[in-house]
Formats: sequence, C-alpha cells, structure tokens
Amino acid sequence: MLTTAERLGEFNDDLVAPFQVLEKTLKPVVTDHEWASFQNALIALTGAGWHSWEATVIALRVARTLHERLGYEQLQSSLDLSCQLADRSFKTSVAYLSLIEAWMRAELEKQVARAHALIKMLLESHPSRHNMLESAINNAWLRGQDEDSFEDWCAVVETLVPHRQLLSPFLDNREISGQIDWGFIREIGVLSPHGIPVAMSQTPLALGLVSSSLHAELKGLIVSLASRQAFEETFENLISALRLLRPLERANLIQLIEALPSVQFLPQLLEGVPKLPMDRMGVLLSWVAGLDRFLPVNKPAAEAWLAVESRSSSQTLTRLLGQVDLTDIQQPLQYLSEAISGRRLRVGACIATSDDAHFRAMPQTDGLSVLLPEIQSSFEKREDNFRIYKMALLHQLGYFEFGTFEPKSLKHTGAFTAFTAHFNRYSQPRVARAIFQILEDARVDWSLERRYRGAAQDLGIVKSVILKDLWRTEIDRTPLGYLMGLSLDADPIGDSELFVQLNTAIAPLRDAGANVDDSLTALAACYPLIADHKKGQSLSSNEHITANDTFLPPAVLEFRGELSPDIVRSNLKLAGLMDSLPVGEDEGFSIAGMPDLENLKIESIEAGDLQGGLAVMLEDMAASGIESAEELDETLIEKVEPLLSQLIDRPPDDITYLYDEWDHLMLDYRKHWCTLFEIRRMDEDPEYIENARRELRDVGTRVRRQLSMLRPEMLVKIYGMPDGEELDMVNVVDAMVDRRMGASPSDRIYVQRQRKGRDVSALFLLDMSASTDDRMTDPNDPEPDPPGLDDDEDDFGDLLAMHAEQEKGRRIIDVEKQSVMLMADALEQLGDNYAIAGFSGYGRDRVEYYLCKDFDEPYDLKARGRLGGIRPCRSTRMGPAIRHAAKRLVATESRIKALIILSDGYPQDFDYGKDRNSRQYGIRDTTVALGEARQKGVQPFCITVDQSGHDYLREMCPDQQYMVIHNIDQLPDELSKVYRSLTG
Amino acid sequence: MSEQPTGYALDDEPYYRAVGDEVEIFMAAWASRLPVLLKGPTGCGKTRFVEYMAYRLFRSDSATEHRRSLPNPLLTVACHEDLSATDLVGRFLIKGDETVWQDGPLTQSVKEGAICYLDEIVEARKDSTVLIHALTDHRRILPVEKQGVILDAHPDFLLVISYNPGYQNVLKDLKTSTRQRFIAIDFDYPDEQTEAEIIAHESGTMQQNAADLAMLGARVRNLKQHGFDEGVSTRLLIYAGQLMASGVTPIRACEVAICRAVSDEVDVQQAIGELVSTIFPVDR
Repeated sequence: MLTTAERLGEFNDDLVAPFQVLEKTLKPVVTDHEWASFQNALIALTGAGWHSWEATVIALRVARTLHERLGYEQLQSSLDLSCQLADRSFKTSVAYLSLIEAWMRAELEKQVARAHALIKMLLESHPSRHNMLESAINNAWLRGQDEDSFEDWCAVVETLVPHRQLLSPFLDNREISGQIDWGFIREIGVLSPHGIPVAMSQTPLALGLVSSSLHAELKGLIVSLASRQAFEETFENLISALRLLRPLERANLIQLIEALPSVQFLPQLLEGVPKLPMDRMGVLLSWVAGLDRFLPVNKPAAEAWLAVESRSSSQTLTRLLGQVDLTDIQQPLQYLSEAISGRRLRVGACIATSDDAHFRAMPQTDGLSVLLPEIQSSFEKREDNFRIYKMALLHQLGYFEFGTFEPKSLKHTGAFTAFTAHFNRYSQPRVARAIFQILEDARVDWSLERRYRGAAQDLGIVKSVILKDLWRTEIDRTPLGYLMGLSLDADPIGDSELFVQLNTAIAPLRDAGANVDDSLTALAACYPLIADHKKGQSLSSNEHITANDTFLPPAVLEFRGELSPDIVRSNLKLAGLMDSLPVGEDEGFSIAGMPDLENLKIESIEAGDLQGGLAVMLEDMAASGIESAEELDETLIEKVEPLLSQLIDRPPDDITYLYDEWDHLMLDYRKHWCTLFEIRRMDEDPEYIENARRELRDVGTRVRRQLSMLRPEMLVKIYGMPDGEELDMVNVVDAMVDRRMGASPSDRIYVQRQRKGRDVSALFLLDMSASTDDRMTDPNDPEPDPPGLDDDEDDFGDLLAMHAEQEKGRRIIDVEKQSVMLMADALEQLGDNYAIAGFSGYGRDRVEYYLCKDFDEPYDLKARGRLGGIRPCRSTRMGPAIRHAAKRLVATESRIKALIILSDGYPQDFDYGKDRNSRQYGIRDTTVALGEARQKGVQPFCITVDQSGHDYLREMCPDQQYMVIHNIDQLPDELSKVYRSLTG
Repeated sequence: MSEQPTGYALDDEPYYRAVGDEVEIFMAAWASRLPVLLKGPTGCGKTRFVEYMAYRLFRSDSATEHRRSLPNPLLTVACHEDLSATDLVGRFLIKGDETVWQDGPLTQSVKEGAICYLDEIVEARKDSTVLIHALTDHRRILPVEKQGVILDAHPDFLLVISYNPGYQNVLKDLKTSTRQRFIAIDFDYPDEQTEAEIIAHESGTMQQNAADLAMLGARVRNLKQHGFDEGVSTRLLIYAGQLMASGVTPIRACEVAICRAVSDEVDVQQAIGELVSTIFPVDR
C-alpha cells in the first residue's frame, strides 16, 4: 500500500516535499483520526479533476495556518469544499484556496467561514456555473476587507442567488469603490432584488448631487422607493430632477419628498418639479399640504395636483407665491411678440433636459419661436416675476429688431455657420463666443432702452437687481465678470485699469446706430484684454454660456438667456425658402423616401434624428458654399421642407389656442391641457364639391325647400305699409303734399314690424378622425325607415340605394361632407351666418381644427375647396374642438348660436385619459365641454352614425340634443330638420 | 379731427398731410370731373382729405369767384341703413298752407356746383346708391322724380364717396355697377414718421409722445388678425395724444383711448396694455 506522500507524488512530484513538511508540523497537533481524514481529503482533492493538484499545492501551504487559527473543522470543510469545486474546475478550487491563503496572510481569517458558507450555497444552487463561482470568489477578496460590509455583501449575494440573470453581472462587477454602502444595498435587496443593479449604479450619482448631510435621508428615500414598481425609472427620474436643480433646491426637493404622504406619489411630484418654485420651501410645504383634501379618496386628483396639472393646483401655487406661469400669460405674450416683431414668432415653453449642455431652461430663440421658462418665481411679487418674463421676451425680440442675425461683415463667410466660423478664428472660440454674447446682449438692451421708454424703466430695474446679485459674489471679479457688469450698466469699481479699458472698448455699442458688426468689432477689442488675462485657462467645458459657468449668475440667464445666432440664421433662411415655395403636398413624407439625399452627400440621417439630419444637411450646405436660394436646386428644397416642417411641428401661420380639459377622476380641470391649432392652410379640392353637387342635385333641392320654410324671427321695421303700428312720417308728409297738390295721395303711410331678419349663427363641426374613412353599412339593412317620409323621399332612397350598390357603401366622411355641403348651399340662400370646421389631431398637444369656412367669409371656391379637401386622419378629441367652436360662436354675438357636431363614434384619442381603454375620460370631458357651450348660450347638437351612440350620447347630452342616424343616407334630411328645429 | 356738421363753410384750411400722390390724383380727377371713391380703414383721414381738397378747390386763391362765393362748398352725408333716395334728393314739406320743396344735399350740390361727399356709402339703402348712377357717368344728370324735372349738374359739381372694405359684411359689398363709376384712391395708415407728425399737429402733445404713439399704432396694427380687423386708427391715436396734452398720463390715456377701444378680447387687451407700458414710461 502506498503512503500518502507516494500517492501525491504519482500526481505531481511537487506535492511530496510540502506534504512531508506538513506531516511534521500538522500531524503532531491533530488526532490520528483527524490526520487520516485530512490525508484522505488531500488525496480526494488531488484526484478530483484535471490539474487539481494545483489546488493541493495551495492547500498544503495553507493547511497549517488554517488549522492554527480556525481549527480542524474549518480546515476539513474547506478542503471538502475545494474538492467539490475542483470536481468542476481546478481553477475555481485554486481561486478558493488562494482566497483563504490571502486572507490568512492579511489576518482576515474571520471572513473565511462566511465565505465558505456563501460559496457552498452558490455551489448548491448553481452547480454547473464554475465561472460564476470563480467570479464570486474573486469578488469576495475585493469585498472582504471590512468585516461588516463583507457580511452585507454576502447577504446581498444570498438574496440574488435565486435570480441567475441578476447574480452573474453582480458577481462580475469588480468595481472597487468605497462609495458602495453594502448595508444599504442589502436593505434594497431585501425589498427588491431587481433594484440592486440600479441602486448600485445610480446611488453614487445621486449622492454626489447632494451634500453629505443629506446622504442618510436620500438613502432612506431610495430604500423606501425600492419596494415599489418601476423603481428603476423613478430613481432615474429623481436623479434627472436633482440634476436640474441648484444645490439648495436639491435639498428642498428631498425635504419635499419627505413631506409627501406616501412615496408612491414621487413620480408625479418629479413631473411637477420643473413647474415648482424649488427655492421657496415654505411655499412648497403649504402647497403640498393641499393634498390632504384629496386623500385617501381621490388618488388621481392628488397625482394631478403634484404634477401641477390640475387647475386648482397651479392656482394655489400662483396664489402662494406671486409665481407667474407661462401658460397664464402665453397668449398675451404671443400677441405682444407679434405686435412688436411683426413676425409670427411662436412663444412657447423651453423644457430643460439634463442631456443638454445647459441644464437650466433659458430664454432662447431658434428664429421660428421664442422659448421662455415654464414658470418664473425668483421674486416674491407677481409683478416682478412678470417683469422678468416680459424683459426676457423683449430681449429675444430685440435680437430680431436690432439685426443680430444680419451681420454685414460676415456676409461672405457661408450662410449657416458664419458666427461659428468667426469665433473659430480666435484661439479660444468659446471665450470669444461668451464675450460676443455679453456684448451683443448689452447692445440689444441699450437699443431697446433707446427705442422703448417704458421698457427702459423695466430693464433698468431688472439690470440693477442682477447687478446686485453679480457683485455680491467674489467670483465675478474676473475680466468676464467686469464685462458683464459693464453690460449691465455697472458704475466703475475702484480704479481697475481693465475695467476702464473694457469700458472704452464697448462704448461704441451705446451709440444709436450701433449694429451687430460693432459688436463683432468690440469683440475683437475685448478679446485680448480678457483672454490674455485668463492666461489660457479654459472658460467652460461647454459650447455655450451655461448655467454651469460660474461667472454668470443665474439671474442673467433667466433674463438674457442664450444666443445661437447660426441656428437662427439657418432657420430663417430655410423658412424664407419655404415661404417662397408653392404650397405643396408634404403628405407621405417618410425617412424611407430619402435615399435621394445620399446623392447629395448628406449622410447618416436616422429615423428619430431629424434635427441631427438637418444639422448635417446644413453643414453640407455651408461647406459647399451654397448661400442663395437660387443655388439650392428644387430637389434639395423639397427635401428640406418636410424636414423643417417636422422641426417646427407646425406651419407658421396656424394660430394656437390653449384649452383646459376636464378630468372626471380628479374632479377638476387640467389646466391649459390641450393645444389647439386653427388651421387654414389645407388641401383644397373644389371639384369634389362640384361633383357632389351634381350628384345630389335632387337632395339639394329638397334640403333648400325645407330650409326655406324657416320663419325669420327678428323684427324689422318696414316703412310705407298700408297698415301698421305707427305712422311713417315721411310718407305721411308726402301724402299730405299730394293731397294739397291735388294728386291722389298714397295710402301707404304706416310702419309695420315684420319678422324679416334672421339672427342666427351656425357652426358645423365635422369629425374627421381616421374611422370616418370606413364605408357605411348597406343602406338596405333591415333597419326600418322612419315614419313620415313622403314619396319624394322614397324615390330618393331608391336612388341612393342604387348609388350604394355602385359604390358598395359610401365613406362616412363623404356623407358628412356632402351633407354639410347641401346645408351650406341652402344656407347661402337663406342668408344665415354659418361656419364649417373639421377637427382631428393626435394627442393633447396637437388638436387640429380645420377651419373650412369662417363666419362672414364668402362660401367661395376656396372655402368649397377646403371643405372638399377634408380627409380622414388621426383621432377624435372632441372636448377642445367643442370649446373652440363655442368660443367662435359666442364671438358672433348672434341671438341664436347653433353648434352641430357630426361624428362617427365616441370621443377618443391616445392620451384622452390615462387609461387608454377607458372611454369615460373622453366622454366626461366632452359632456363638460357641451355644458360649457350651453352655458354660453350655444345650442349644441350631436349627430352620430355610430349605432351604439345612444350609450354614450345619453350621458353627454339631453335626449333632445342628439340623434343617432341608422341609415347614413338620411343624414342630409335629418341635418336640415335638426337645423330647422335649432334655429327656427 | 372731430366730425364737422354738414356743409360747413371751410373758412380755415384743414390740416392734411399727404402720404402719397392722392392730392395730385384728386386734382386730376377734378379737372375731368371724375367721381372719386376713397377706400380705406376707419380713421385714416378720408374725410379730412375731402375737406382739404374742398378747401384747395373752393377757397384757395386759384379758385374761381363763383367757387369762392359758395357758402357750403362741401356737403357731407353720413350714410346709414335708413337713408333713402328722398333724403338725398329732397322732399316737399308743408309750411303753413303751402307745400314747399326742400332740396336734399345731393340736389343742392348738383345745383350749386359743390362737392357732395357720401360717407360710408355701402351703409345706405340700395335705391339711394342707384340714384347716383346717372350723375356719375357722362350724363351728369339728377332726375328729381317728385318735381318731375331732370337737373343737369353744375360744372363744378363733384361726387366723392367713401367706403371701408375692411369691416363690411360680404352681403353689404358695393355693387359692381356702382363701384365701376369711380376712380378709386386707396388710403392706409401713414408710415410711422408721418403719423407721428400728424399726431403731434392734431393733438398738440409733445413730439416724443407723438412719436411713441405712432410707434404704438404701427405695432398694434401687427395684430390685425387677432380679434379686430383694422388695428388702431390714426384718429384714436390722436385722441390719446389729446388726452395726454390735457394732462392725462400717457399710460392711462392709451388705456382708455386704445386698449379698451380696439378689442374686446381680454388677452389682446392685456397684450396691448403691455405694449403700451413697453413704449411709455410709468410715472413713478
């Protein structure tokens, strides 16, 4: 029988000597039985698998110490475990024993038992994944430096054991970082194993955003979030929200979250953050206390409150702090902007995104719109906040008015990148850009002050406030700070030579005739003064002046915003090109249809990256030196047009309106929830109407006859009547004269009051949702004809049935259009004032109201063409369309205002209510909209061809105010009856 | 620029600032006795222009003795929907036991050789617009049905009508047969500088205020399509200037004379209010 040493030697000679040493040292200190077991274990390990003798080498090395420090049992079980590991892969076994050896050396032997248990557990649950085991062992070495945190780490691993897909990446993560708080991760793991990876990757980021005193609170918050659904998304949103805020505001946000009744509302609160005055804690707390009235009953209302979507919520905020919401003043500012600039610049909200180079939303313009922050609450008083808004708007408009985008000196340097190219001539283009912006801002403000005396006062106030802010901090005593101070009319500080030099350099900008070229000249004068002074240190890592640039206090940015002259110039140029184009069909544009562009060497335009695509295109144009419209050939323009119209999301001459929307769940209006575009530019198809007229001549005659029976209801004085209520003095005198002169006098000497005039305005509102493209069911369906049809109509029915045979059912939209056309023809004769509009849209941000014919507008070829051109598209968001139609009707000031809505189904839109499958939201909103219309004296009437219409129309309006048409061919007749009953 | 009573004597030269060649065109039309149609928005100076031309033709040194002696060289009729042919031509009245014929303004000017100015002609009843047809072509005659006579127009007689295409109902448009009997002079609001001159002259307010008012007018007119058709008229701007001249603060003057007057829409009013406070300084 061979000795152990000999048997080991059979595997590898290197094992013999260490074993013999061990025999001398270990054998004496253990019992014979233990020694025998130990030898067996060694043999087993060595023979466990290919190359497992390598593990034995380490085992022999570490055995003595291990026994000495942790006792025989640990030694034996470690050997057993390594044997099991070696059975799968010698490497794992080697790794395990090396770990023990390393810990022994580092006197971390306490961890051995814990690691042992952990690895055993892993081995049992994932026996075949030796790579993972190896990762775990290697990772344990990294994590085992501290006893407590190692215990937490092990617990985390144990939590993850059932989740293989989470476990592997976790164990592979070798990031050594003292920042990971394993106790915290363990807590998360207990609540949600899936939250662990997110928590690990994001927590350091989140903690880095707040001061250390808030770390405990933030961690507590994250833990409480962990058990919730969508933990990952919420956590990421939290981080983005924190990023957008200033340090103080971050602390406030955390405090505010703690004040929430439940962390389940956090997603909504985060949505609301951009609209909240995060620097005003007192206000925030009183505002959040307003939640009490909804909870625990009305959760949707509470959510809308926190997201500042409900009217009551924003009213409360506004009341609490003189805060000004852009939505409240958007319309007046829009008018103000149009009045001052004479351009159709859309005033909209700029939304801050953390992906941007600049984190805070700043006033800016792209040439097509002026964007302002959503709220303004820097000051306590409402008027002060409003002033900032107004001045920010004026400043942006000032760029246009005072020619910022029309530099003469840059005329020859490419159309689209002239400014960038100019700045690039300086050794530090960013510094040059920053200086230029300050100079140009200053010039524009001075020009504004000269031209508008009222604005000069307000500008003075704003400037002095900002200046105080600027000088308060020491960081501004930089050259750029001086320049900024000068641009804000600062008095000289001390006897700084630099200050004096800069003042001299910018003096010409104060002159009445100063233009942007003077600013560029001043840039040349100021640049050496500032750049030399800075000694080459980089101004900022960002391309534009941003909130992160320390030399700019936030208030400057709130007021002056940022300037991107090249973008504006490009957009203006393209918009000019578009205007010069005939209105073409840009329907059907798709990215797929763009391969031609590659011929123009415009590359890498990807779906969803239109902006990027345009940028590439512009670069190319600039590079190829194309400057004038003539040089751009037609095809290129055609490509640019759809791109641009995607960019500006609407043609510039649509007027937009904001409407509230009723949310039945929260029992409140969602404020300014829908944006309605009143569209005048649409496809025209006058032939459609002409054809339909010919086709439906008979019905047309009948509709006219029916309507002609309408009795006028307005009293009009008729002079020269044979009898009446009062004498017609003019005719009386004439009659007297005739009698005196011996002629026979007229007996028509009375004034009668007759019902001659009609004071009626009617608006036909057509549903043009995609579903109206459906063909109607067979008109010969078993639905019984309504009683009371005379022969005439039966004939007509036959005729139409024949038509239907031919066409296999007509489209709903066609019947709608034809019915309205017949009505319009009849109303032209009757002389009633009427309008025709269609509505459609997609989502709350784009409700489309196609105005085919306005009140007082002639029903001419154009109007008929617009009616003929109506085509089915998108969805049916009825509420805003009704509100808008009612507004238009009220403006007519007619005595009778009739709103006739033709539709083919219940109101729906993809975001009409949070639950897409629920019709309730849309129906209730429409109900409220109809109610509002009635309150304003408008008589609404709904006609639907949806056979299930009774179900919801009953809810939306009283019985006598709706009608469900069973046979679509009845529509023209029913419509004229409805019209008669409404206006007769 | 307040409305003058019909047929006033025109003793003083009315102020009129020409903005184009309208004076020359009018003179040429007068030379051939072509009827003139003045088209333009409200308050842009149509009536003042006619007064000015009447003064030049009837009161200046170059005018003939006859014309200078005419007591009422300009007869203005503000047309309204009840204005009938009788009102223009004339009627018999009873005076004591007699019936007396009373000339209407049109007959009077036809006989005397004055300018007859029918303001806002489309407002009048159809019979009265047809009446002028015979007067405005080569015949230059006015049939007076009641008296059974046909009057030949005096060589100095000229018919001028005005018409505001902006706010009229489509149903109330001028008939083609009427419209094509006139040469048409288009009026519009003057440019900013000219308007400032006019405002300063008419209202007596400071130059600076007048310039600012003119700027305000131009800016408000950018908003034409929002709830009002024509923007603010020069007349309103002058009213505002007059209020300022009599000591009302500029902002308040614009508020009462302009903001409230041009639109009923709250947002538009607010926007104009902001525009006013942008242009005029607040007294603090």
